Amino acid sequence: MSTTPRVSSAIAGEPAHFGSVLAHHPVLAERFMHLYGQFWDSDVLSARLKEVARMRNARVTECGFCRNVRFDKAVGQGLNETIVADITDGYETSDKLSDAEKAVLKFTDALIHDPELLTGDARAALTRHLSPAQIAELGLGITLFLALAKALITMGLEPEQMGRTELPTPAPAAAPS
Amino acid sequence: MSWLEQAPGARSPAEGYFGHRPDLMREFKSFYGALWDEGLLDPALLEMIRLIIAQVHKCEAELAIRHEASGLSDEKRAALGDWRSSDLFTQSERACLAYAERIPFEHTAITDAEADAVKTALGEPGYVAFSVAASLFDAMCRVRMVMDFESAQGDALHPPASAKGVLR
Repeated sequence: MSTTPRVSSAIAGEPAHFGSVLAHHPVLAERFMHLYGQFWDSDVLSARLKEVARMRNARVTECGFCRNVRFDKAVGQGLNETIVADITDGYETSDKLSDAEKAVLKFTDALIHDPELLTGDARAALTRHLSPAQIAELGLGITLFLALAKALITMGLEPEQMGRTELPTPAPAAAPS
Repeated sequence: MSWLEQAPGARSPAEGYFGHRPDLMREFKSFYGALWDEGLLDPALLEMIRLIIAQVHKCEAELAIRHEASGLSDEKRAALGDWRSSDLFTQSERACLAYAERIPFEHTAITDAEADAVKTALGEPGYVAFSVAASLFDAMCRVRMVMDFESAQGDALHPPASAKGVLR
């Protein structure tokens, strides 16, 4: 996996990162930022459940940037490092993760890794804990997490070294033109 | 039929799922559709990338979608199953197909040489659009499979996504 950018920043004075690289296509960049902000701003599914799925995606796709970033809204909702450790390994037997969080993690694994993991029992657990609107929001989020992680990795935008970094939760940008 | 109830007014299985969050689906169509609407890459190449990734996943629901207006010929579409032994594809297309095939399960193993080959073929902005597109196509195949979407063709002239059209 390359940690040397394979593509340059399109913003003068800024290093290559996802936003500055995506700026090669301003319309695509604008629409992504707007969508991602709207997704995180929605409370249909809690930021904590979204972050649980994002952390699992980071683990499975091996995205170092994603793995080290924490969004503050989820941290404020109690997602601490002890819980994150259980997301990384052994979530099914965790006594720190709720049943809803385990159902979200199983769905995440099925989407990003193997659809066969979503057994009848796993579907039943998901629909017991989440409404159709929440399942749709979750699926959209995982789609974005997965695509973002793979794009970051393949374009060589992974950090060589990075510690845990708490960032403001993405907020809605101005509506795209 | 997906195991999740369909959102009202859905025009496709994808809209039946994401349509449970209509405002977010609208924004997603705008983003995903930009790949097709804004001409960021040759639409025939985009179509090839989408199909080759669907082929890796054996995703029948994705393979059933045909974007005929992309300009990808029936001959090339049929040859994608064995593109390495076909003489229909240019050197640039071969570089893109080889790279795209690795996105679903080998994304961390893509080499600098493979990335350079795609950059040479498409230029730097083209490589960025290609990377985003391939990653999204992979994710959309996975959504179709985990949600058990049925194959649904719809209007074959239109792309899989468009800001103002149907999300297929």
